[in-house]
Amino acid sequence: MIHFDPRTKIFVMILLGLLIFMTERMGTIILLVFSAVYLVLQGKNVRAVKFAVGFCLLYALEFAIQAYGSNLLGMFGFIVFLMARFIPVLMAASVLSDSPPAELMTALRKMHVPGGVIIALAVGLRFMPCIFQEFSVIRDAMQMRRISFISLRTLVHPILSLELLIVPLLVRTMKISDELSVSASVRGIDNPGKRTCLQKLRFSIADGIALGIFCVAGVLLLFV
Amino acid sequence: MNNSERTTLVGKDFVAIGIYSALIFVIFVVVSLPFMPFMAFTYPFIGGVCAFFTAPVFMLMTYKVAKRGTILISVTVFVLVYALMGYVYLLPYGIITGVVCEAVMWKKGAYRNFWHNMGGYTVFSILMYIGSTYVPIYILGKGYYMTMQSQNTEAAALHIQFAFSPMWVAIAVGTAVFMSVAGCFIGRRILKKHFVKAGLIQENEQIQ
Repeated sequence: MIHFDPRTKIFVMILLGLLIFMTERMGTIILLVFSAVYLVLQGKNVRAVKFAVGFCLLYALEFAIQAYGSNLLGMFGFIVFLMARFIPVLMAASVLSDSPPAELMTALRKMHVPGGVIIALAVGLRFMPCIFQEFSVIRDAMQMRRISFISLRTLVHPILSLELLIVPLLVRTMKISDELSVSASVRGIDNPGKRTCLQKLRFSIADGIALGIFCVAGVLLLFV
Repeated sequence: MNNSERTTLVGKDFVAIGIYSALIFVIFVVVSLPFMPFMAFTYPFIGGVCAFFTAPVFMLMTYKVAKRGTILISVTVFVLVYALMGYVYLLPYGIITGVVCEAVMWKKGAYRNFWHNMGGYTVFSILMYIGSTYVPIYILGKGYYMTMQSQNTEAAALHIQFAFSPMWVAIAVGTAVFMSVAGCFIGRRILKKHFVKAGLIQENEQIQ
């Protein structure tokens, strides 16, 4: 099981993202194979299989729509096609989000991304699952008061329904943001000194080989 | 002791911007989900509708963190999250958008002034929402797009028509402007009605 430097992962993801939009059908399949191997090398076998199966299903679905569907269904098939193309990039992104956040942030800092952006990004990414949790809580609270979204009232008073949903969400977000920013202040986020990280980030031979392989694959796909 | 006179972005501001930007991003994605299957028909309108729903959060963010650079950092986070999902080519475009919005809001008291805020938000939503859906087509170019969809030329043709015909682009931008303005007014009403009354927004940050 190889452990890649986060910068390598970022580069692979960017490269895959660019290649996805510049290749034909066969190219997409080749990229999928490369990504699957990339995942397996890092020990994520189950995930690689899941993504590959998803890709095959989407491909088959799009083929079915091509062959048997009407024109209207063809538009839907276009979306399915786009989604299928995206799978290699999603694989690379999932590997990237596996690195511990501290490692990611150190990698970004080494790439000279401004410190403020790194803080905002880290906090934002950590906050996203919280949003869905808050939303569940709000929905439960609404149910307890016997207010529901799926009723006639939503159609008659759309703005009122929007208000009922957004205001608690905004208030919760504001409270969380206030608490978090004060806590970050107390923990010395404004310290102008140099920051250290527990894991040492080093480029290894595995990184070089992976980068090399992906670059070669990219060049081949673009010009062959 | 009131520290609200500092004009540079501090650590706690970055935290707040990150959180609000994450919320904007989630709302954007959730609102554009129902449009996805019908993307061929609704391409021009996705941006407008998302702008409407994101307005209150944006208003809250600019009122809470009323310093220069807020929108730039917010757009950068937005675009970085997009990049993590795979749309890496939005990065330079997002930074340009952020700089343009900062230029719009450059005046001293701009972030607390409602009309200035609305102008900034309209520019933001046009560039971001329209941009994130249209710019990929412009960058890839008509030729690439056609060869990419060797089979589904019907849907691709519709997309290209939406992106390149001036009338449709004008419709998309017009919808976005209208929805942003409406969203800003509703956002202000929501903020006044609930937040100020509950005392969550203090006196020195009073909404005009």
